[in-house]
Amino acid sequence: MLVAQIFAVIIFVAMFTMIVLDKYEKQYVTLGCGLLTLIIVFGICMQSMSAILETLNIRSIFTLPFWYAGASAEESSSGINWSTIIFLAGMMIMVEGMAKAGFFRWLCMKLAKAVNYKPLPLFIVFMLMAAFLSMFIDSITVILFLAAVTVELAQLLKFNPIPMIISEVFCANLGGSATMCGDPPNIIIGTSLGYSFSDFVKNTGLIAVIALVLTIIYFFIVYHKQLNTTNGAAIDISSMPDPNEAITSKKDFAVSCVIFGLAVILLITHATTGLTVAFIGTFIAIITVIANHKDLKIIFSKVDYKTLLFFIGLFIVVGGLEQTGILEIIAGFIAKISGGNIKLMIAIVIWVSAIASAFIDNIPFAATMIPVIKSLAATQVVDLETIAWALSMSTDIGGSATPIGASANVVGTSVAAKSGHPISWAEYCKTAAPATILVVLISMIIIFIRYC
Amino acid sequence: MEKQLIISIGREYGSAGHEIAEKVAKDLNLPLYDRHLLDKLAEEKGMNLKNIEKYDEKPRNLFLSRNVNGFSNSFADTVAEMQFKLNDPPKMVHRSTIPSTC
Repeated sequence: MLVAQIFAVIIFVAMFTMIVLDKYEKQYVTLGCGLLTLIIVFGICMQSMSAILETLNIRSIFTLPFWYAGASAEESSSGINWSTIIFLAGMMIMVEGMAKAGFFRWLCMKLAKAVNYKPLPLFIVFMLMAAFLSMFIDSITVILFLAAVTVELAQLLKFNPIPMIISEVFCANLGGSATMCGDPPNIIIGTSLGYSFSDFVKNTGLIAVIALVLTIIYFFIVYHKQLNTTNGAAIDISSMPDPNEAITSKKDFAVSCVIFGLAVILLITHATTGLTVAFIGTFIAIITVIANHKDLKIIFSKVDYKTLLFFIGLFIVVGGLEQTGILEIIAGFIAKISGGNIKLMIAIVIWVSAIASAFIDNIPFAATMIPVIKSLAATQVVDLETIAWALSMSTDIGGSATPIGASANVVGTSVAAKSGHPISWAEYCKTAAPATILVVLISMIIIFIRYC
Repeated sequence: MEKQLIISIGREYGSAGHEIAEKVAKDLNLPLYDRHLLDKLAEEKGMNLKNIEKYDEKPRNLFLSRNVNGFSNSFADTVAEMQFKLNDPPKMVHRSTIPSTC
């Protein structure tokens, strides 16, 4: 077993290093390392066919609880989390349908018009919108459209888009932490540990709402001087882009709004209906495909297959660590340091996760930590739910601290740079890092008060 | 990826390297990448030329930047991409390039 453990760790470290170095596309890295895990760790070292089958986890797809289950039905956290992959694929297809119809640009422009294109109200409205949309849609898509509109409006209204983009990115990450489907770590946590959409809303959602109010106040204090550029000068609203111009087809637009509404309703009610996220993802994908049958080529060509493949490889590599007992050793180590003190243990999970997520991709980190918190909860007095919310908040929020912490940050800063507004690390971290510390601190305090 | 023809021309003062590069680019129907590209970029994006020059032809910092779905937050990458876009109208995406050092 020791040799298998050593190889599992080597493969995992190599995968992480290659992801950071970004020399090869991330899906090839995780799939390659996944294959090595299957061959070397499970095949040669452990000679265990059952470990391979358990990690590939394909059998689970053909069971009823995978598609229809009570809200508390727990799925196997070992190996490939097919629920996450199927759900993400479904949501990607839905989002492409919405983007094609012009939904996001229309929404951004409509809100800008509603506040009469005044930079300060725009600043607050866009932060709220980033947070709200990211609760249901991946933050990359949200920021892609929001940052593009922000840059466009900044040129027309003559304000600096950087403060707005940094705030939007932060709020998108925060909004993502509020629900089960907002941020990939949450969907992995939810499907692996059997939590429902409403479990997340009641727990991380509450923390996120409180943190969002404070975040908006914080960014307003920090940036209001920079954004108050019009000095009361009248804005010529007629020269602004018409929101309706964004709509490519009224019929497609209406259909995409209905599908999005349906997805939200299905997700909110999935604890009551018993429909799993895998079912919801598949169902939403099917109706998007039916509604857009003429443009399937466009929609499918834009689906991010690379990320889905990245997830498959990642889950196999993490499965290697899990099957060889490495993650139990890490859990034992955390338990030993905290000496059975629950608050200390939660604080360790929160701050280690937040700091790690600020510099490395939070998805592999969260996927690795789930079995760790599971064994912590199994052996210690700490409640699994408490530590799950701690992990969720800290991985989702920690990524906001630096320009490379989360995907939305990279996309937001890239859109800004392409428009001639490069954002340096110093400029980004000057406001985002204190905001991150503030929100992580608030999350920790709420978790301590509410659960410990 | 389609094969690319890249001709790099070095020069000394008075050698008319720039003029030769222009002629070669015209004859071979290749875009010419020269120093004026940065001026054009600075003007178009309303940026300080010095800020762009700092990142021109620089590799990206592997530890301080990331790439997500083709979006890189390394400004060195962005400067390179902007230069290619300036000289690369979408209808001629795959044509060859002729960088010139003049």
